[in-house]
Amino acid sequence: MPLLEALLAGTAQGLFYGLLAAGFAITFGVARTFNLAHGELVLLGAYAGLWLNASLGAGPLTAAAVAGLALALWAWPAQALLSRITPASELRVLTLTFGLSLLLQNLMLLSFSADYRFLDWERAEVVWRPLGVSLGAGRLTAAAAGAGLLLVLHLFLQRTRPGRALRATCQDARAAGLMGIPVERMQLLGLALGGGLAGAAGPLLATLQYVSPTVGPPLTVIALTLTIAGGVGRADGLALAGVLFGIVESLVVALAGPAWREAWLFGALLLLLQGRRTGLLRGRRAS
Amino acid sequence: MADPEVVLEVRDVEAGYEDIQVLFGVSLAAHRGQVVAVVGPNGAGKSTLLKTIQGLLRPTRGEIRFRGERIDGLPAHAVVERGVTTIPENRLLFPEMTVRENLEVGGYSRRARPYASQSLQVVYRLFPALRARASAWADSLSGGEQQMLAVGRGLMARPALLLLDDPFLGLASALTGGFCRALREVAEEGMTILLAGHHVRRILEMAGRAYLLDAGRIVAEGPGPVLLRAPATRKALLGG
Repeated sequence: MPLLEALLAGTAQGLFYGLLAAGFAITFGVARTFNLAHGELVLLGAYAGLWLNASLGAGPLTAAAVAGLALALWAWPAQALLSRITPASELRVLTLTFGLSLLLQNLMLLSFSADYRFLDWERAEVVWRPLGVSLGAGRLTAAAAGAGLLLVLHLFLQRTRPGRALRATCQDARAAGLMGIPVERMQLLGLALGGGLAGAAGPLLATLQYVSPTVGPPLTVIALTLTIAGGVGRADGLALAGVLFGIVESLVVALAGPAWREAWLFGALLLLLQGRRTGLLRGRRAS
Repeated sequence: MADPEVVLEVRDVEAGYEDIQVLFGVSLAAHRGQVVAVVGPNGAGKSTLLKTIQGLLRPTRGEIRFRGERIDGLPAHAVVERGVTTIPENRLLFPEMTVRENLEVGGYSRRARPYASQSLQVVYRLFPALRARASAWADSLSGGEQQMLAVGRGLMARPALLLLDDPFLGLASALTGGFCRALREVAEEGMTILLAGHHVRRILEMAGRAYLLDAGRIVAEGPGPVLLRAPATRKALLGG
């Protein structure tokens, strides 16, 4: 049943993709530019998780929680760096994040070598077989964590006062300041959420695939593609975009072969850049 | 020493952008519940003046006091927290938020929070169209509705001083009358309103006090209707 398999596996993978994109989207919202080092932040989280796993025997969820908290701290150096770039033109910040991506890749190569690693844990071999489809424990854990974090993020952004203030800051920082919203503190919060979500995605990634210091850029491209599709400041949009993307990716791999995976990714990005100006769920409540 | 009724006092303020000085020693005052107008030709410095009061620009000289306390040099959000709110010229609504959410964000400041639901009812009473479109996206509104939302969002902050930059811009003339009534109504409840803009007649007619700004200097002042008939106003606005 390749179709059913693609549907279930793709949904699971897609929820993780949504999480992968969430940190990128929020960082984009407050920094007004793509963070090209996003994939490397995820990998830093992955290596933190691998270390916790090797030294303390932490499972992927514990590792994700700790790595998420640790990577949230990146907000302080990131904001300090951003505030030093004047004028903070988008191109200059973009160039900076590209440099940061290369720097982190090389630092990780020096520190962790180019070896491919995998987060091993006692349940890694457990396989669940709903409707005859095999889903590994790693994939299910990543999907559940992704769904859970996206839900929490969604409720935070839509239902809470700081969440609304953060969305307002993403949409128009100047207007947000005029509403009495402390914009710099909101930017710090956005960067902390962005780093934290990236960090949390890291150990989960290491249960889904082998990681090495150079696998970051495709992760960044996935996050970028989903952000364009799902919109900034909308966790539900990202979840939907992630699941759609995951399902189509699984179908492409099942029908055309794994070689087409990246072709599909870049094809989707190109298509989105042609067509959509706003996220998938934009206008849902428009009357 | 300080007159408790004086809400805003601008003294000898100079301000501008990088190398360009726009304001040259501007002084003005606004009392509680007063509608104060600033009129003048394009480029006179009206928007710059409002931005400087709000804390979006830092004056290079002079001082600005709000209820006796110096506010020049404070960041905009801190000035909002003290009770000054601007309704900017280009509205600056949050396009990907609903009408209701825009209003809620307007009541973000700590001083406004306890009154959020009360303020919402006041805004809906002044602008019933907003209640009807509460769950519509802000950028799906008509120009007039967007302007109502901008003013409503500003009122949600429960300011003691409301700064309006060109509030009638792009508004159908049928709507401006209703707008003026709404503004007068909030002023009667004690809110001070500082209006700047191009619709000179409308603005001056409702202003208890008015200032004519030309090339960054106050060149005439007086009650609005008096200033409306003053030769200096005609000269500055009509160029002759």
